[in-house]
Amino acid sequence: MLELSCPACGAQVAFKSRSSVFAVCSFCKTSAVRHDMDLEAIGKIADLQYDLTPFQVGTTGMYDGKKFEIIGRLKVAYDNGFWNEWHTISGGDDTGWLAEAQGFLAMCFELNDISSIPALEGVIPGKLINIPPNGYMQVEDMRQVHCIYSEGELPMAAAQGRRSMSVDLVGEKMKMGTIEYGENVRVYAGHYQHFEKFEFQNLRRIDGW
Amino acid sequence: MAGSHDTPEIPNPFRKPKPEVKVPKGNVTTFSCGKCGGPVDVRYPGHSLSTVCPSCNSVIDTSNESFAVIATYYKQLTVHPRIELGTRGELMGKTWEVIGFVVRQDLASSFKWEEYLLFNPFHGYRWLTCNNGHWNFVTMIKDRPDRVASYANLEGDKYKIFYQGKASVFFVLGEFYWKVAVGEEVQMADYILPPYALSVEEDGTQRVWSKSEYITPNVIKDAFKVDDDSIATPIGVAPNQPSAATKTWNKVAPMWALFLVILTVLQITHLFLTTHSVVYDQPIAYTTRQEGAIDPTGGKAEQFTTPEFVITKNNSNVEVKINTDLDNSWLYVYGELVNSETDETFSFDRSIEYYHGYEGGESWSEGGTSSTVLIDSVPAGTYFINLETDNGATGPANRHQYQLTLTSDIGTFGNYLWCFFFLSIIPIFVWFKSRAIEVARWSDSDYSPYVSSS
Repeated sequence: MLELSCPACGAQVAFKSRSSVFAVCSFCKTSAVRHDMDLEAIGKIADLQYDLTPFQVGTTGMYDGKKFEIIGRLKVAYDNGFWNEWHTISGGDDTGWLAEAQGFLAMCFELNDISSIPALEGVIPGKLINIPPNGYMQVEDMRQVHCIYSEGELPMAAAQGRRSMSVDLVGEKMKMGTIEYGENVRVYAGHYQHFEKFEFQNLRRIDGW
Repeated sequence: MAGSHDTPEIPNPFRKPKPEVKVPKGNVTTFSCGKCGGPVDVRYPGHSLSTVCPSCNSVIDTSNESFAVIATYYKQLTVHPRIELGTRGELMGKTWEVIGFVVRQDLASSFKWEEYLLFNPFHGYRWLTCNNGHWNFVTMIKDRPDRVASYANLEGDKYKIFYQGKASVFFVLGEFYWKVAVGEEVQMADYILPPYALSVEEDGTQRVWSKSEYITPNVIKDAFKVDDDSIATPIGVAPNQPSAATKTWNKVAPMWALFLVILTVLQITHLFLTTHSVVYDQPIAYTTRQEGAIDPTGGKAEQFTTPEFVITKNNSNVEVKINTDLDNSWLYVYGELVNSETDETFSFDRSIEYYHGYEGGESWSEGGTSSTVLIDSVPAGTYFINLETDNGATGPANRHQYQLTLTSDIGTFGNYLWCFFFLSIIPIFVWFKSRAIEVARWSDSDYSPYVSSS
């Protein structure tokens, strides 16, 4: 694990994943981009007004027989709501994403080979797109999203306001996928899974529950 | 998750119309309705995107702090939810809070049903639906059931189509994870496999599948501590209401079929194994009564004893067949099958009569010219038969004869038919009961398999 000093307050900022290039200082909420061994402050993350999620940085869970830990979060907003994308690390340095939206949870992983992914112009709801290893899945919805909050460490510079087009896909047997058309095209494939099956630990406390 | 400094967990569930609103503290945000100025609570800000003002029923955008009024509807009309919003209950092993209430209607029939939005911050959203007093626990699913003809298939189960139509939102109260709108229309279809059902809703941009499970009103009452007045007695049979009779029938039917097959195989084997040996077959003469004779038996009975014959199969049955040449007359036969070694006697008697004629342009006939008697469990041995006959022939005395045939070890159907009958009483009863329920279940469906017979 790499520990660097926050360029604003000097507190330790931990990097558990080598692929993380962005972090938010948990003390002063300064967001910083990592250049090898240096952190460059790029702004401050404003606090979230309402944040009723059972997860937090440090929550652990199980997926596919492997234990993972949440190390960062991206909260995005679209016209009709919000969702959370929790950055996870498992085993040595396998990173993934736990998506949390409208009570549904999905675990997905970024693909390296995105040659089969069509350009955004050709994508419409209902279209079938082949995303290995899940195979063909159907475009469920497409949303213009922007980042409204981030914390912990992330593999991309997720400043508030960062915009992208997020395309969600579903397939049989709880398969899912996401294509994010931003500065770069990022593709994720995984599965929906029920809350219980994740065997979460170190969840956040929610008042009254 | 409950910690020591939690505020009281359960709000007062017996909230009557327009009471003090009591909800668990912690997340609740209160603001003034942009339409009427009344206080509006949002229990789950950040999750709930729209909230209905309890005073004027305006729908308010709660996705941000501007709390804009999205729509104002039905100021006058109020449908009171059976379970008060804010009530928490234990259902399916988890705690749920009722946060939203929707009344929807089928556009074709205007039939209305209620839906309660349940929320648990860890487990997300569920629905409770109340339809004709029948309740369902509904979970949205990400699986995509396969729709083939009139079925939807999910995880190897076949759900049969029950309803297809358009539904619209008629009334809303509470808070929702989307921007709810009265009048919102969706295309719906329900597929059933009691106690489960699959439903699909499409609104042009999304298709949402959900799986329902039937739950009894008592479960709702207990879970949410609702008083009896609020939970109506269910009417009729719900689409996915489990039927004990149907369940029993589904179990009994294959067993019944199996037993009938076994029984029939046994019967066929029995028929094959019987030897059908004719042990005696002779004509026996008798004299018709003199004209004017009065007493049918008085000394006029004619007696005859057959020669001895042998029955080889032990304890088998013996069929006695009497075949006569009666013609507008009767013959009475009394017989004794006697074992000549042990004197064991099996007696039998038969009245045979046959009349016929032509009257008013029509032929008629009555009775028959032959009869059989079956004697069970006759030991092997040497036998003879004592016979006594009397007859009702009139006219001049005349010699007639009848053919007496004894067949040992014949195949019978009696046991088979009795077993068949007793084995079938319960299955047939169950079938009738099950069918009555199924007919009632499907009576509201356009896809009833019973429609031609009802």
